Amino acid sequence: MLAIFVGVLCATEAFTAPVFGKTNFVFGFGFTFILLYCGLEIFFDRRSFVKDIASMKRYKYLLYDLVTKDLKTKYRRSALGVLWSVLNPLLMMLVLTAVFSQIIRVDVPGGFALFYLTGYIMFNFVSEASNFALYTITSAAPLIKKVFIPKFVFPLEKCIFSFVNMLFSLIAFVFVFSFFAITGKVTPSVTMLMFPLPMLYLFVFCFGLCLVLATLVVFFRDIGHIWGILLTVWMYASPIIYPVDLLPDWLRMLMNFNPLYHYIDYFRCVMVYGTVPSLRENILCILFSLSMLLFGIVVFRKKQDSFVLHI
Amino acid sequence: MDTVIDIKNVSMRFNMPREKIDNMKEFFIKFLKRQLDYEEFVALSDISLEVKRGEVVGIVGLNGSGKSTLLKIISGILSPSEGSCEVKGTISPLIELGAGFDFELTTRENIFLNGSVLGFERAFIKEKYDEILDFAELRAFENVAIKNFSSGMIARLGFAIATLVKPDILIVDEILAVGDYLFQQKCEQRIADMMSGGTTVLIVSHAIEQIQRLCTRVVWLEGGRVRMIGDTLEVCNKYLAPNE
Ligand SMILES: Nc1ncnc2c1ncn2[C@@H]1O[C@H](COP(=O)(O)OP(=O)(O)O)[C@@H](O)[C@H]1O
Ligand SMILES: [Mg+2]
Repeated sequence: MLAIFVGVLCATEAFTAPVFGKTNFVFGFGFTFILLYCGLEIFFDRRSFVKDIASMKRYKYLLYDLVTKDLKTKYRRSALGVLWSVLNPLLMMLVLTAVFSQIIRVDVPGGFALFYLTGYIMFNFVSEASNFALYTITSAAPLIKKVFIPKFVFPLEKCIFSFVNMLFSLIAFVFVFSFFAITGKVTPSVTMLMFPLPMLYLFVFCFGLCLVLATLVVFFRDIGHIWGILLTVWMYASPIIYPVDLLPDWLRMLMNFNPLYHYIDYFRCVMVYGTVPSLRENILCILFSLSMLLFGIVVFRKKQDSFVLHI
Repeated sequence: MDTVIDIKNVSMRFNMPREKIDNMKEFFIKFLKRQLDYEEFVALSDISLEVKRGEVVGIVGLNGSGKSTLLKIISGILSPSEGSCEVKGTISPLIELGAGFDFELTTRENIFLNGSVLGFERAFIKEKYDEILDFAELRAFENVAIKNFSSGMIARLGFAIATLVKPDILIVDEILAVGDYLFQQKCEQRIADMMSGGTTVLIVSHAIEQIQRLCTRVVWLEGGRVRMIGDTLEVCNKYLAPNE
């Protein structure tokens, strides 16, 4: 068993070396290990796994209902409605642009405003979805104790809800981009049509993350507080307010292991710079998303039966 | 006849930590001090039961004897600590009616909400909408928030939605006690209709008369164990007069 494992690892190693370059060693091992482990876990439990997938279809209306309920609460009950989702990133952008392009003078191609906005939109989705997802299982306790419901519905619902919010905040991007396009600082490009791709990658990654968080919180309630701090650290560790070019070499190397860096960079490339990320970047993004998703699924499924005893 | 519910050596233990540990600091301190022992509560121990298609099985027992726990295991809400429980076919569990009801919402909205909680198709609920209102006798209250309802009215609504489809297995937990006697008759009629259509039924009830009238077989639980299992009349007589 172990021999097969090491064998597969080495084989992937040789195979992936040209793709991942310098960092290939860690990536090769990391991804193979996670994917193999999760793959085996799911394989040995495939019967109930298939059952879970089948139940997804049956509960799509529940998912739909929960998302619409959240959207209604968010957008109907506040006077400014959708406007807040647009205004929020705009205001943040104005403040930070003032600071970073005038005072500290960070120079990025396309201007700081668009640079920041793209990073903010992506990061905000992860931050919002994960913060919501933390307490989904514990707050669904009344339902989980009374009827049979596939429990992943609850974190998934929050991810979809936050995803819709992210789509609304894209309106802010369109405004700002149009402004800069008119003044001639940027030119629209066909690559912008690729915007759903990085968002999809990020969504899959984020769903996996939310599954892990929702599981942890059931057993340790104070993960909620710790996560807030981790998110702040993660934000500063991601190139949202600074470009990676400013970092020393060793930090740029480390940055490679931050999945958010890849997603944000992907998004910026297609939205602002008009370039299409390389095959390597695509493979990396897919591997990050897939590993996180499978890891989340495995953790969640291992523990979901005992949720009801702890909530 | 084929077996639709196959329960093999099922035990259910609830871990009740002496004090509730829900943060990591306490967890680690307790873990280091090896104080992580739980007060184990055995709600069910070593239950085995086979139910054949079309049977109507009654479950009797005093409060806390594990009847609801057993039904929850069968319907998949709880998974057993030990043993296996295999179920063939669709289940309608009438254990807690109106799960997911939002008391701020109207009858109409709650019908759709509860429908999706139970996993019904949207179109199906639309089609049966009038039937639900009529059965629950709540047409006059269609657009009233259910927080103003009496518990009987809420139970009626919950029952009407939960029994929309004819399942392979129907699970009824003490819910026939709610509602007025007219509604009870209506509920019983609906359950009888399902039975004659071949549905397998499990009933928990404290009304022994009802058990005797409906059931083909009775299980008597005591302190989480099967005390007796067998012919309705025999078990009921013994249950009512254990010392004779
Ligand atoms: N989630 C739970 N956590 C701890 N104990 C429980 C839980 N659910 C049930 N019990 C205990 O299991 C026992 C059996 O409960 P139950 O099945 O509801 O009894 P019955 O329905 O026969 O009255 C009770 O003593 C109850 O306190
Ligand atoms: Mg009970």
